[in-house]
Amino acid sequence: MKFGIFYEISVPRPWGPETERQVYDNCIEQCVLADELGFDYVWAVEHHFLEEYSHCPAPEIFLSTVAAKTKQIRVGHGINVCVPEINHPIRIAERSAVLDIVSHGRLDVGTGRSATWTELGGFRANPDLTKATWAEIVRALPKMWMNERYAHDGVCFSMPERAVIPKPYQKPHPPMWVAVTSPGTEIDAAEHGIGALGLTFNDFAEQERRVKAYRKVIETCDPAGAVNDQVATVNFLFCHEDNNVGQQTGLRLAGTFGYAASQLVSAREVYASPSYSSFGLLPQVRRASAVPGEMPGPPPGMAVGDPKRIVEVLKNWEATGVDGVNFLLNALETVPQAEVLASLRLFAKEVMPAFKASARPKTPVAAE
Amino acid sequence: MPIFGGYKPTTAGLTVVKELGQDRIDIENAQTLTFTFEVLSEPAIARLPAALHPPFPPYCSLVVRACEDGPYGPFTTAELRLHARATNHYVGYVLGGFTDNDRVAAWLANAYGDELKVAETVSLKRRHYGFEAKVITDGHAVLDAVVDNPGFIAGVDVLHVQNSVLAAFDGAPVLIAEEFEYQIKEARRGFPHYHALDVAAFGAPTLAPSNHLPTTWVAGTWSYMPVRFLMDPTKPAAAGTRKVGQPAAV
Repeated sequence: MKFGIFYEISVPRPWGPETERQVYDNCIEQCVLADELGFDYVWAVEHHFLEEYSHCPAPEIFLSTVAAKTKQIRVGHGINVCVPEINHPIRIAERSAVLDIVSHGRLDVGTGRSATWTELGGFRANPDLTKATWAEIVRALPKMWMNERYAHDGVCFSMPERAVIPKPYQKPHPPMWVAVTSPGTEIDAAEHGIGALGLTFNDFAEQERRVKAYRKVIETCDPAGAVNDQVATVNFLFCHEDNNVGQQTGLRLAGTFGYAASQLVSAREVYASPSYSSFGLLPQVRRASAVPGEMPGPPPGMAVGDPKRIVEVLKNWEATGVDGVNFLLNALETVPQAEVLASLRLFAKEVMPAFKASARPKTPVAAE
Repeated sequence: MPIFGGYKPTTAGLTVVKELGQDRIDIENAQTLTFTFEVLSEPAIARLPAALHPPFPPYCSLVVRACEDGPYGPFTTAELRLHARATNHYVGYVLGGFTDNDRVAAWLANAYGDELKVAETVSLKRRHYGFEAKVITDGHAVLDAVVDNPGFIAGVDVLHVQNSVLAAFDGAPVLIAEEFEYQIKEARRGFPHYHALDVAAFGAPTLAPSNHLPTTWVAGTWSYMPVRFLMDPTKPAAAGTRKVGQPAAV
């Protein structure tokens, strides 16, 4: 099992002149500690216009800073929005390569297509087309990285032959993932030979079913590039010596996250389209959280409480076949920074040893 | 925490509900045409009761529903709603609307607090090219729109959010949860063309439509449900929501 931390970078109102800086500083401090403690990944999202919920439109800059301050932890761009109105695919390839170089080969490249009208509408992107543009861009990126020169004549973009430079430090290219929120996207991941970066809170049985389906399909995939056969899921984390304190704080964190998430306008809500048959995070966070004060206890899959409970929860996730779990540590700064850091330390001390060491080498992947 | 609406209502001018609707009414062969458009944030926040949050971006839906039959005869309604969140639940806050059937206006007012004006024309027509919706009141077209050449989509892709209606009940302002169930047999989607869209006539003089989204049309069975929940419009929904029959929190 690999463990990662996952950032939306949510910023609570009121927004004073120092608020966003303080939240970014807190996140970077957590990343530096996570690196020292042996976490495998730090992931940062790309979101636009999502007031309070996510003030992270340029994760490559955040992750560059993290890479400069850390030594081992991998930096996950989770995700690049593969919608041409938002990111030209050449720019995705270029930015990723630079981040891989400056991190000395520690980059994982997430891909996705956005689940909100807030974002898609803001860039005047057509929600009907995002599945197709994602698929086209995901197949183009490895070629831009691996081929000395590349030309493309597609539906969502075209380019005459050019050298897309620099090339990534990792060869043939950094591991690729896709964000999985809609049911069935794990199959898209497998068909393209890329990792499934779960961003929803499935139950154990549903997760196991999805992992099995993924493993079966990836055996016969038509890979976009180098195969990355991994499934990760996402969870909340708050670890405390006192199980009750851990659970209550974790529930507050989850509830706040759900509250903030529900203020966004999902594509599903306003733009009826077969491309968006799911609300993304919302139904899951509704189940995983509730109005503060209403929930008797955390759901069985939520990694909050004392170390003993969290080990049990994560053993259950491990049994579903996932390769890793990425944790949300805070939401709207509802948990004080000192408590977040203490939670990370306790997790590393009491929970991590119960799981096998990461199979991934801690040292950067050497370039050829 | 998210922004709350800026409107703290009193009972002044609100429809008085004496007995909340407790009957389920199923209407077969109902058609619903839903126009959707964004509105600017500041006037939207000012228009929402303090119990509700605006989503980002704020948006409205104008819902035109034609029912071939019902307990009060055939009718068509057209309601404008400002979408919002009650904690993390989606609601459509009703701003105003029209109907062509005065008995239906009385039923919806008595059961849910809906304040629908009776207009000379409220219509939803299937045409060879698509759909046409009209509302004419006092000789003035406040809605005249068509949806040309709509494509087929799956009913499961269309979402209808429940109404939240501000009314007076038990001597206090309340938000009444006007819930629906629906079974969709056919669904279409296309882009609207407006010849007239006067949101002020629908009770929203401060909201200016912008950034129009696709319009959906569905046909099937539409069910008006018994009222289960009431909300104090002046308190956050987490604190001010109660089940029907329970006393309001002090």
